[in-house]
Amino acid sequence: MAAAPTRPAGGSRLDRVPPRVLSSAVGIAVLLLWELLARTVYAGSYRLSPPTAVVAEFFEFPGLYLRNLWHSTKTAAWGFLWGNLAAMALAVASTLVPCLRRSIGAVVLTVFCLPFIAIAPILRLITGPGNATPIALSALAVVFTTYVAALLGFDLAPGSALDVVRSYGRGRLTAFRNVRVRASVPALFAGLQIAAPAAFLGAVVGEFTGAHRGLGILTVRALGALQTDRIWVIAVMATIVATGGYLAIGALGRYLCPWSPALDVGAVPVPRTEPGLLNRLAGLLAPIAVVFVFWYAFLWVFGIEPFFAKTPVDVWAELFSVSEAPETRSIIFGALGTTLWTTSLGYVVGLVGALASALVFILVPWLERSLMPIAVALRSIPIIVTTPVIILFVGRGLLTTTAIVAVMSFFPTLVNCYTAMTRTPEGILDVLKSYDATSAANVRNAYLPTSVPALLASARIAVPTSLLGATVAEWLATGDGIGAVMVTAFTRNDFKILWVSVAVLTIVAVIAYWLVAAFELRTLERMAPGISR
Amino acid sequence: MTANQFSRRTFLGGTAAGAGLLLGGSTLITACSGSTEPPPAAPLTPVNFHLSWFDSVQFGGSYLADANGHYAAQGLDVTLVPGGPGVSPDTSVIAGQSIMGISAANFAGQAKADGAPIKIVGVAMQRNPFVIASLTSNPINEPRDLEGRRLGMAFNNQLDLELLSSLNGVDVNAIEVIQADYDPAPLVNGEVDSLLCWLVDLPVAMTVAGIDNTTMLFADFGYAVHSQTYIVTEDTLANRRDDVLALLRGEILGWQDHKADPDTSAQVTVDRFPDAGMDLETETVKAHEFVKLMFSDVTDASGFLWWTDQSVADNIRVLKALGVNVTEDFWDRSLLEEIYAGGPVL
Repeated sequence: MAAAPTRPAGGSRLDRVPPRVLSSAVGIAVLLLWELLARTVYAGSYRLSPPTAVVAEFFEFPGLYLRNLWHSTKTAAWGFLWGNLAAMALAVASTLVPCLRRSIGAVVLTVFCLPFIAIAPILRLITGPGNATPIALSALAVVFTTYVAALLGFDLAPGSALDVVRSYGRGRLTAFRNVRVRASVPALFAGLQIAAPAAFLGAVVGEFTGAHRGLGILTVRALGALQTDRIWVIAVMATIVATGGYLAIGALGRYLCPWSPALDVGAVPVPRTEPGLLNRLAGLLAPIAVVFVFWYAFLWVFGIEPFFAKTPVDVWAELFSVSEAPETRSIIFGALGTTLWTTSLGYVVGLVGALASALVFILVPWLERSLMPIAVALRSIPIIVTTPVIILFVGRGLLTTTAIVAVMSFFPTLVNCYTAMTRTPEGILDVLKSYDATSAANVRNAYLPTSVPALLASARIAVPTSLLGATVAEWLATGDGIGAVMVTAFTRNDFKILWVSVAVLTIVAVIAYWLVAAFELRTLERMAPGISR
Repeated sequence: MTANQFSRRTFLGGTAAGAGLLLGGSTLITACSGSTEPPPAAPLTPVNFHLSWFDSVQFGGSYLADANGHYAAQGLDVTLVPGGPGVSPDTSVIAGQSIMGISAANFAGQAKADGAPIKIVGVAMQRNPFVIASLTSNPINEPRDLEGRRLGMAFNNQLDLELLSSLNGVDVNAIEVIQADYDPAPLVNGEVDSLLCWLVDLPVAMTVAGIDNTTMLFADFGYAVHSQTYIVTEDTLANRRDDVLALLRGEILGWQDHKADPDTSAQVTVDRFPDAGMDLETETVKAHEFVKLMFSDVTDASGFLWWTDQSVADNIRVLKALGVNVTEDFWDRSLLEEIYAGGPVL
């Protein structure tokens, strides 16, 4: 959880109530409302279980729930460990050998943009039966965010300390060991906090590729058997565990590095590109080449049967040269259009809603104090658990995808923007105060500008996570878009369409990420040259 | 709780010393399976058999084959690999990870048509289990009733719905399709008038919950697609024919046990997977329903997993309408003919 060093002065009497009391009061009010709704409006509807029924259901089958929870958590923990180790190793390599940075970054981003639902079966093909696929998926889910966070941490090392090392005639390695590693702790732990729910999502999607137990399987079973109480028990347990993990990692980070305020990984400026057309071109082409090399190497190393394995050449042919190509294109791009439309709607709603909520929170501190802990908790719930609950309320139309994407981008952005706003320099606020500025003026002149870097960075990170959420939603809930095309292709053993969809969606995700990153860079260079690095 | 990760055979075969540490599920299985025979002298051949869904009484006969020692008696150490929405048993078979898998003629047929060297060697459900489920107060009794009504179904069943419609002269565009999968709540809550699902799935859940429902079986309206079909690769047939024969024999013996006593099959299934949270009553109803789908005059005359030439002709015609082109050689009955040389019961 982000510390808030400065708080704007507020006038409400509620501001004097201790935050714990306020949060508890709000929490109790939410529980009462929940119970009331479940007992009246939603009674007998197989939608909303009252909290009392949820507790009763848990205590009727405690062993069942704890065993499944333990299994999924254990899988997620292994994935978390391996994924983060890989991410840190890659970040170290990127820092020590700067010329590798772009290529490593491109591969890591590409892997993160690969749709889960399509790589899960392919991983299953490689690993065979057992728990390796869920662990691998869980690891893949965390690599990108931790890589970005660790890299940022290493980069944030104070220049003066690096100069000292250099003045002693020591090299990069010493600087890395003595300065960068320490400096990276806050950013790294912020990244690990984000990684915890992602690892959970990976583990649960992995269960869908065949397992004997786990919360994902229990959820599907409960849905089919009209066991609404069971779905809510799972949702509540996952929320508690994920929030606990989030808070524990944050606490560990603060313990290891007490001198620095917790930092949110979203609030991170992108690295500046090297000037010059040739450099830019090389910077663009080298990573693409590396990705293609990895594609071939992957097929070759694992000796995947030609029936499943499609190369870039096959994908190209399928899209542009074979006789069915026009039909394939119309299926893929039609579905892609649906996905992009619902996703971007949810993305924008999530980001705008987050910014607006952050502003409300900064202007009405008692609201922030009572609702922010809930927002932080909600932020850490894995989407796979929220999906059935969102389905219960929104149904299974296009709106569901939009809602899920909005939820996925809302919470991280809210936390990041709010944290940035609390860091608004006191000086600016004092000046505004001396002019008797209105709240609107404060927002316009102080809070909005200071939150821009955080908003942009959150928007960038939210691109691949939104598409990930969208494809999962399309699979589990709506049956529209490219996610549905991939699942249909897969269940019908149509591997050509599967690979084409994966390739097209991944390329779109990477391009969208680059576009947002470019926009972020330009904006930061224009409005706050000091921030961009 | 990793007890269930060990195969039944490993557990019986030599981990007695460790057995005390494996609490819960395994102990229960032992208790139910009755007599445990001594480990045979010859080492068992380990094989993976890929099921088509999560652990369920849908595979009750396989669990009985394991629990009652039929696999072991055939010299096999069988790992029953669970399926799920994110995995295709066909893939596992084609990649050589599983010696045999359970699929359906349309899915396996697509792979076959795309060049995968696979064959169907057994058909557990000759009557396809797809149904249109509706509330008895607002019933769908025949395909024509679907017109002007709302139907909840999984998106990848669109082709199946179109086929059912064209077979019965129904205007598919007059059906309002709403995505709904694995979940009877939309029907119960009145958001849809009907659901496309399995006979042995959501309707059973509704029945157990006390909700009166009506089902219309696709198979009764021309939709002839073999389901729960056993598939192997041509390579396996050529080089490991004996293992496939052994596995099929074990399966048949297990399903004969299931047919004789569905209640025990449900009990064994529930006890075998304590982490699945299955409800014994529900699984027992399902166990009986599966008997109706898997056994018929054909199996009474010729044996479990058998199919007729007529049903192959029907399948080829229907699959063609689904856009899947296969020929008679996709089905290979020679193994069953060998197994049932002495009569339809083993």
